[in-house]
Amino acid sequence: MRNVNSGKKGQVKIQQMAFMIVTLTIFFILVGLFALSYSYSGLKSSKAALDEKNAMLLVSKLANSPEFSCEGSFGNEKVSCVDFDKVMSLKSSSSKYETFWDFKDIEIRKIYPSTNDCDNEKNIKCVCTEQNYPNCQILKVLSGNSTGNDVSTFVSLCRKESFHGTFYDKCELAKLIVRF
Amino acid sequence: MKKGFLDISFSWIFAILIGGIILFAAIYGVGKVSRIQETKVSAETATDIGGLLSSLETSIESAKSIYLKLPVESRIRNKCDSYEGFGRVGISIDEYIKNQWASSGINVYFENKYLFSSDYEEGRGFYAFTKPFEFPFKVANLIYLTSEDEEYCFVGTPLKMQKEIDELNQPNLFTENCEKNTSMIQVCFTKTNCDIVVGLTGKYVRKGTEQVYFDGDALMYAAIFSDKDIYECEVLRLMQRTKELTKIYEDKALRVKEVGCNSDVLTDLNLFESEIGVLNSSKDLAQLKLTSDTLKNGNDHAKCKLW
Repeated sequence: MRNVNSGKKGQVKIQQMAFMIVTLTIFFILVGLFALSYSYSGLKSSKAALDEKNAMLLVSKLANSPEFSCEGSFGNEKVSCVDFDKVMSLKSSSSKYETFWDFKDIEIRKIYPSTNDCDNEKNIKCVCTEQNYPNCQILKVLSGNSTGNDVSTFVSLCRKESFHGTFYDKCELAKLIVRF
Repeated sequence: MKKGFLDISFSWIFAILIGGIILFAAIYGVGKVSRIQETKVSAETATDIGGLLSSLETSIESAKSIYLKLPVESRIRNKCDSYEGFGRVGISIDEYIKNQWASSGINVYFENKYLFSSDYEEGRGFYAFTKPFEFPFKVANLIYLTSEDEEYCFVGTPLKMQKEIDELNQPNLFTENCEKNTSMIQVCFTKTNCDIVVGLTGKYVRKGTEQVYFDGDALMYAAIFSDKDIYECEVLRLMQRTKELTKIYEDKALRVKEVGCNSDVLTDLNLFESEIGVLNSSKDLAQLKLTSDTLKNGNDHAKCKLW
């Protein structure tokens, strides 16, 4: 009888301990998961902050990069001046530049003089193609992801024009928009 | 008596075993989390450095210097890949923690930066300056990174270059009264028994037995401040971008021609593009230089300039 009782007692003790171990393990797993998710959320937010900071720096740099900038072709070197002819050429070789600037989407939108029809982005006549260039409003240099955060800067968009056999520099006000 | 002893012993052994496992898991977890944290900090620092270097690169400044201070003694590693597209430069940070170098192993890559430095620069403070590279049109801003612990003494520097270095106000670059200081890296333009010898006529930079070639001041500084492997790799990357820019200018030349303004450099641009395609090392720069000069001359005198 005593043997049976002590055996039962032992079983209860082992059961208690097993329950305790399972509870402790679950507790530690939960704590670990909580700590991991907390540190991951911090990592994501710091990546987003760094991305935005870099985008702000890069968008102003972008207008002055050799692929976009007017350099000396419209008189003296100008800051924030985009060569319309060059970016149109860049558009045709844009697949090579897909990962070059860390932006999925680069767009140039003429602001002045503006065309009311082009307020609606879906108006395909407004988007620059080889057929309607330079009489267009929106040039999509890189068109990857249309969702994401926008960062933009104002630029002058210049090109060569001819009038009665003479050439002149035509510059319009535009906005350089990047999406990251 | 024996039974009691067995009963206590089993409980204790069991408790110690499970306790040990839990304790080991906790210590392992803490170690893992702290390593993740170190890696995160290193990656953040590398991205931050990339961002800071971006702020250096604007269009019209000639040469400009910035100072980077890191929280602990660090090594900024520069890794360059020239294959595929435009190639890329990787920045990673090793930190000196608990008397040893901890490497995160995480490279933050940039395709649009051209960083010239040794394989790694060591210290807490670093200087970086930039200079535009034109060949013959502007290709990129080159970034030169040096540790504040490494001091350079420029001996026999041409006046124009001396003025430029002085205007940088970078405390680890000296142009006067430094010749006898043996702790400094001697960069000589007229003497040959120095750490770094610059041949302005032959357009070469020699470090010990290694020799690289340059064209223009921007690449000359690049050759002085970087290791041979990094320099050659970055030159190849620069030429890859030059080739793409040449294509863009070819296309622009046709567009300008359509409005009736001939730029007269289209044939030379085609030749330049094919010449760049066969460049293997900095030694081939001299061959490209001829076409580059012809292009520059043609564009300078064109009715409608392409750049």
